[in-house]
Amino acid sequence: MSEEMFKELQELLGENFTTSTAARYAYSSDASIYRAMPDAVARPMNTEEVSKIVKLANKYKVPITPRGAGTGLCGAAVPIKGGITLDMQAMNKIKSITPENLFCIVEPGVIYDHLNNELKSAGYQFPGSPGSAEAANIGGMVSLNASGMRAIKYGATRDYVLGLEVVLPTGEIMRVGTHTLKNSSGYQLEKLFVGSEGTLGIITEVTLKIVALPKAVAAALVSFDKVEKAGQAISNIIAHPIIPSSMEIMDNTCITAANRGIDAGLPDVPAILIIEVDGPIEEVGREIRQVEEVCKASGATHIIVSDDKAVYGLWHEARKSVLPALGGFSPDLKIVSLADDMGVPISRVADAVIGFKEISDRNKVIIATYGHASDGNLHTKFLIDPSKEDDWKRAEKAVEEIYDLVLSLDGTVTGEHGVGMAKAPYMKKERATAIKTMKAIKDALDPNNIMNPGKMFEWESDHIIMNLRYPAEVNFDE
Amino acid sequence: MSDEKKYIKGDKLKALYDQTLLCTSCGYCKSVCPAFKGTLWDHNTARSKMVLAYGLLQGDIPVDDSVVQSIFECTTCGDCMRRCPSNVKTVDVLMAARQELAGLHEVPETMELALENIEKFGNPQGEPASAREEFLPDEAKAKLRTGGDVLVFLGCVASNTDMKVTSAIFKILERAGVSYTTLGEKEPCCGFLNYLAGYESDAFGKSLLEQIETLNPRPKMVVTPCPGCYRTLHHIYPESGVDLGLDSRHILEFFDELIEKGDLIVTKKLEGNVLYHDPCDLGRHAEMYDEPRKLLSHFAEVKEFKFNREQSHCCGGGGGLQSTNYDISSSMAKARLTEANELEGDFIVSACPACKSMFSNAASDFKKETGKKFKVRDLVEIVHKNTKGRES
Repeated sequence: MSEEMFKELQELLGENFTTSTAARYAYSSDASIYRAMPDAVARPMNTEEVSKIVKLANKYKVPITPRGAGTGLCGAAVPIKGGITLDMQAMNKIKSITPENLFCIVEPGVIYDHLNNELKSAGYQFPGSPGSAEAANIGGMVSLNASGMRAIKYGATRDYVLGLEVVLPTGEIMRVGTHTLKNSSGYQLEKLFVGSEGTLGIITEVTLKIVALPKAVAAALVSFDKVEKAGQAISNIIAHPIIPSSMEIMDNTCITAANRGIDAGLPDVPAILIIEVDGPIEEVGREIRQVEEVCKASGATHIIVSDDKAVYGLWHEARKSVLPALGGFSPDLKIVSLADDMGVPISRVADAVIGFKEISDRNKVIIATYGHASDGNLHTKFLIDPSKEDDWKRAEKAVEEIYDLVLSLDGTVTGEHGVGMAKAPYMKKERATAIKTMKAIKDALDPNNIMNPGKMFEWESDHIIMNLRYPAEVNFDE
Repeated sequence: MSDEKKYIKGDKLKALYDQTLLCTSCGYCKSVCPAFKGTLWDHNTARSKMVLAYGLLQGDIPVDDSVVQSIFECTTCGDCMRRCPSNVKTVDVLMAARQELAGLHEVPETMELALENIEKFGNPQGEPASAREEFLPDEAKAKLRTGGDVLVFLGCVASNTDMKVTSAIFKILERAGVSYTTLGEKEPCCGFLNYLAGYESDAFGKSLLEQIETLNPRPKMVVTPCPGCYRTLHHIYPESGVDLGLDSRHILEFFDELIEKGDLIVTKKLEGNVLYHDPCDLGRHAEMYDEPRKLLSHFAEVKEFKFNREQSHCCGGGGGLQSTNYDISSSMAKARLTEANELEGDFIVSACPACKSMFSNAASDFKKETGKKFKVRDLVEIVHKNTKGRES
């Protein structure tokens, strides 16, 4: 960054612009495996400031990497080409909640749980339910098309984005979408920015559809002596037909981790399903009984049903704790975020989980599997010694095999976490026929390639294990 | 700081290297971290302290003013450690990082001043030693350094800044007929601030021990109204090999015993909504939750903050943050008062002179802004105002 640009940014932002060692290092990583230092961190307070920052970056051709809460798992917020990290957390106002219109308008730095706390008093919700709900920002969720355990019934973030205010890579402020529930007014550009991971512009305002909170909720904790039976139960429930509000699967590695991490008290079995239904009271009672019957017929060994939030809330808490709690699974191994959210057709969940186990055994890497079974979105987490080059190499081989398996099952390499760097080569494989169009869109909007460069289809390597935030040098040139 | 780059030695942090790798950066700590809430900068979160500790240990980053400031912009309240699903020992890592910085004589300038005061005057406020006796009632002055069953260790904050608490303690002890003594101008600083700054505090313990040895009869117990002093006397000294040879307790435990024994008799109850605030050093760090509630329940029906006990929110006065960044610190106190206001609290009662000081200052601003008046009290004051002795 030139001295001239530095001075201009300092003048514009004052104490909200920093090149300090502490800030640059703290902003060099997110929850992914990567580290790269930005040259500076800028924190805008409003859209106009964002626009001015972007105009400067475009003028001096300096990369900008937008960042929300920094809870992403694929490195979308890691500034791999340096430049400015744009911290959007201070733009955190809930501008309006209008249940009568069925939408709310928020700034990108609003935290998911904070928004839902406000919506709750009006009897409404934005039901994305990401695992990182207590920290994740709405802007980040839109940028990654994030979702969570309730996508089977409520969909993903893209299904709720009615409109956006976006600062384009030229600094121009653009409004896309509408403040109406429907529109057929030209290209649906708001959807283009959903999942664009900060490569096309900066989201500065989001109009989100909201839905009413359910009147009642009930859940079942179902044990299985074989993963295959759990997979069969998932398919049988959907085919019944029952559309639960969530249906989570956890393998024994995840169960053990959650029990150790937060003393969750989950049954020590090969696999469990946590199944939640919601809706009108009578319907919930009927559906949870149907879930129980289908699970029994599918070979469940034990079923606990509860409509007590204190009880099923703990099951959900256990499920949410899996990712971080895996970190304490073994004293010598650490959890690293690899192959973290593949999607497969619901009927192929069991095939995928069994396949992951085989890949784990074959590559001698502990791989824990859990996820949103009801929508086919599975998470794996790897436990390795992050200081050992060989562990990383075996892990990468397993990652590649997992993605090959997922694609062979007609799946996708990412269901809700995005691409960033961690899935870039595999996304290129999955979207082979669309890459050229994606590049054309990027070139058209961002001719100087300042917006989060080097990610997704711009990733140049066939490998993903590089720029690590862990103490290992991994060399693939052998 | 000079232009030459400084790097840590690593001898303190090395043992916690594993913890820095255990952190998955999931961000759960951000939802509870008061320093983050007060600034919205990521480098103030617990997870970023883990990242910075890793960077320091690996030699990725040098020690400069920004790193020092970031490592010290934390109340060490420990809520991150409670929330962490990976059970990362965040506060231990932070304290080891501070020890590394102390090894290079790097602490924030504002804290440096307080430490210099401790060295010169024996207290962080820079008051002369004789000031410790100014607020003492005559009965206590008569028992200075005389020996007795109970040694009252007032601590620097109560001694030098809170006349009401200081006076109340001795009036209660007189009322209950307790055999006590106190050190007055000979009371050393406990060294808790030095500990928080990353320095050793055992020399302060030895200094206190020397004073205890001069007392005749030798006390069987030391009591203190300050959670920081309590932690130091009860946990930190023993861990650093200093044995005072007597039982160390927070004074609230002792007062409750006096009530239970009938040496103190409750005369009246408080009117209004009484909220108890858990000081971090007494709660999360010393796990003393039931005792203060039990004592307070003699005087009022105890109402709880929404976030209480293990989940209590920090007043902003911990970890030396007051001296490092008063703005963040005071914003935390104000946030806690906002919570109290939502619960229509009238009294905010704590068992810590630092909490009382933070809330008192914030309450003054709160009244100006909203008109709402809180009665901020230390438990000691509640006991003083609402009890009598057996004979009276």
